[in-house]
Parts: sequence; structure tokens; C-alpha cells
Amino acid sequence: MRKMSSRTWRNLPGWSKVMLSFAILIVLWQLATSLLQIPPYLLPSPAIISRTLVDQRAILLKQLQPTLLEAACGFLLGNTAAALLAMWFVKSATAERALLPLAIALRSIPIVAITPVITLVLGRGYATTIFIVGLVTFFPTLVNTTKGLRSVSKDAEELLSVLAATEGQAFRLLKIPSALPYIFSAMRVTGPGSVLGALVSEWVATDRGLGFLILDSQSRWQISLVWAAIIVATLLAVTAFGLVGLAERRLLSWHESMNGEG
Amino acid sequence: MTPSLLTKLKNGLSLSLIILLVLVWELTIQFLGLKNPPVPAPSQVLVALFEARLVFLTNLFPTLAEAAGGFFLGNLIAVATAMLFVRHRAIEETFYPLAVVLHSIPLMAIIPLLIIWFGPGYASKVALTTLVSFFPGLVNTVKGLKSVNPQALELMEVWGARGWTVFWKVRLPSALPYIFAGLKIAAPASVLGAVVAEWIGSRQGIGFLMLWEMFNYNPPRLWGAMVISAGVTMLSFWLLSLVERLAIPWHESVQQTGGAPKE
Repeated sequence: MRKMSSRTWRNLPGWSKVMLSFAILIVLWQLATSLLQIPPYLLPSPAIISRTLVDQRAILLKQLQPTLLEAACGFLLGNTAAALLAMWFVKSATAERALLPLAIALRSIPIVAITPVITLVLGRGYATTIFIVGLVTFFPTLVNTTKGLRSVSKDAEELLSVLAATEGQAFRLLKIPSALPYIFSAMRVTGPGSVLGALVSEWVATDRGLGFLILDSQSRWQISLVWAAIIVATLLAVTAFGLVGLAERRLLSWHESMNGEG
Repeated sequence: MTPSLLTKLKNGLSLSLIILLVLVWELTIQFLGLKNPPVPAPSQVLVALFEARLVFLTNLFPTLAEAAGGFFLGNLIAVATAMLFVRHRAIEETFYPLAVVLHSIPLMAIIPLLIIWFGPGYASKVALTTLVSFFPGLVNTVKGLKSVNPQALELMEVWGARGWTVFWKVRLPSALPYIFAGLKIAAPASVLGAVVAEWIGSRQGIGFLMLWEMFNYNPPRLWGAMVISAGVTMLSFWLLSLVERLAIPWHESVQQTGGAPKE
């Protein structure tokens, strides 16, 4: 009987296991809070949090917008800048030699932690938060795109030069497609990372957004609102991750990483 | 050209560019002659670092303690959990997906909750750095413990080796490169976590100092604090690479590039 049930468990698809263990967690959490009578400020029950999610949806939606804007703009700016610089690196070996080690050194700076410095320079507001998110996305994309643009197969490159392809055609047909898997693996990190960057930089640099809401409701001791805001922020990060995965599957259906393990 | 000469040349070009940039920066600020600009000249930052060295040192210690404490605790728990997962598949299949779900929470966003649970002192910061170190440690150790060469396992079985012998002689050595890859993610992340956690309701640490100098408008000291936090991060990474080279000199990731194994 036990063997049987463990086999059924093992044969379930991955996502349903996640959902199931998640559901078990929530049930246990609800039982623990009501049976042990844990005070709601220490650990609000799932029921209280979901009620807060519904009741306070106006505030949550209102504060979601600035965070979404910061994360999206910073993500786009950081990726665009990084992609342009990487393309320059591939064209000019001198530029790469001079700048890539610098970029790798700068990457190890704890970026979100320098928000106070950027706030001092750019002032409080969107400029600072977008700049921080941009920096968070910039370095991983730069390193991976450069690596990807260089990963072109020699044979394909020779073939294109035999066919007298222009430089633009070589980029479009060969270099960018072979760089895409590298770019996406950077984006899987920077997508959720830009949400986190926006949240945390809001603590220092603005008085709006989900990050601000988390801190503000904590100081007002509205603990269930803290939880609700964290849940919305997590959903945003998970959505970012999911969107990157979706785009990857659409654009990279030809690539072995999509066919290998399924 | 030999590869070593080529890398020397590369480093030289980058280094001279950095020196040039710093010089241009210094001269621009001096030339503009602004009084206490938000972007101070590098020399002003150096002077501030020297003059306020006691302030920086007293605030560096709490941050180091928080980052290091959580780093060790988180990785210790992660390795223990990974060992449990590898020995008992049922536990792994139940809890590993859950760990992946929990990992997708933007961890730093829960700092306000950690402060409610553990207070504004060391405990809440160490709790955060523990969490931040735990997930990369767990994922990498599980991957590493599973990456064992099956022939080596068979050989151990033929020799009649027991579970723990197999673990010490085969599984752990082959997991070490992966564990180090996790540690190299966790170390900078715990420094970052400690600094950011100190923004909220803390009275000491580099993160607290940064906010304090921001509100009091003291750019040279603020930039000095930033230099220190960046330095600590780089130092932690460099130290781990050194330990890695000493611990697994036989592994290709150390011999070739000194980097982490590929995914």
C-alpha cells in the first residue's frame, strides 16, 4: 500500500507536486495558527491574509503600479544598454579587453546596497529606483550576451562569409540567435531580480510602491497587510520568471536546451 | 603570444583605463570646484575613509558578524538538508519543490517580518543572511551529491563500503565543486543581505552608516561606506576562490579558469 502510494506520488507531474506540497503547507499553517492560537501579529493565518488581499485590493493595486513601472523600465533599459555594449565588444576586441574586466569587477559590488549613494546623486524618485533596477539587470546580461555572441560556430561563420553575407545579416541570422540561450539564462535571474531591486530601493528612495507599502504597514503594525504586500510582490517576481520562460520557449523552440529534458 | 602574456596585457589595458577614469573624475570635481558635491572626488573619499576610520571599523564589525554568521549557519543547514534529501528520496520529493517555491519569494522583502519575529538586533539580520545562503547552498549541494560517477558507486559497493564511507570517499568529494559554486553565490548575497537589513530599525553596521550619512548629507563618508561594502564583498569572493583552490586542486574548474562549474 505504501509502495503503491509512493509510486503514484512519483508519477505525478512536477507542477502538481509543487501545488500539492504548497496546499499541504497552507492547511498546516491554518491549523497551527488556529489550534495553537498564535497571535495574528506573529503569524496571521492564511484566512486572515486572503481576506486582507481582497479587502485591501485597492491599495495593493495602487502600490503595485510604481513597482511594476520601475521594474519594467529598469529591466528594459539595463538589458538594452548591456546588449548594445556587448555588440560593441564583439566588434572591437580592444573595447572588450579594456571594459569587460572593469564590468566584471563592478558586478561584484552589492548593487542594491548602493541605493543611498544613487539617491544622493539622482534624488528621491523614479530616476533612482529605475537606475538601480537597470544596474541589477545590466551586468548579468552584459557578461552573458558577450559570451553568447562569441559562442558562434566557426563553420556557420565561414559559410556566411562564403555566401558574402553583410555584417548586419551575420548578426541577425547567426550571432543573435546563438546568443539568445545565454541572454535568456541571464534574464531568468534578472527578471525576478529587477522586482527585488525595485522593492528594496523603494525603502530608501521613494514613498510609493510595494516596497514602501511593506515597510509602511509594518511601522503601522498592520501585519496582515505586510503579508499581503509580500505575496503580491512574490507573484510579480514569479510572473517575471514565467514570462521569461514563456518567451524563451517561443523563441528557442529550435534549441537543444528546450528539447533535451522537456 | 603565450596565454599568460595575453592575460597580462588584458589586465594592463583595463587597469590603465581604471586609473585614467579615476584621474579624470578627480580632475573634473577639482576643476568644477563645487562645495561638497554629491559625487565627491576620489581623494575626498580617501580622506574621509582615513579620518573616520574608527567609525567605519566599529560599524564594519556588526555587518561582518551578521554576514558571516548567516553564511555559515545557512550553508550548514543546506548541506545537512541536502544529505537528508539524497539519502531519503521520499523526503526530497515532498520538500524540494516546496524549497523551490519558497526560494522565489524576494527574500529581502521579508526583512520587516523578520524584525517583528526576532527584534531589531543581530538575530533578525542573521536570520536573513541564513535564508539568503540556504537556498543556493541547498540547490547546489543536491545537484553535487547527485553528480556522482555511477561506476565509482558500484566499485564502492563491490568493496562492501558502508553508507558513510561512500559518503566521505565518493559523494562529498564529487559534490565539493558544486558546493563551492553555491558558497560563491551565498557569500556576496549575505553581505548584501546584512547591509540592506541594517537599513531598517538598526543602530549600527555599514548599512545603517550609509543611510545615516545620506540623511546628514556627508557624501565623502557615504561613498567611503560604499567602497567598504564593495571591498568586503569582493574579499569574501576572493577568499572562497582561494579556499576552493586549496580544497579541490584536482578539479577542472580550478585548473582552467578558477571559476565555478558550469550548470
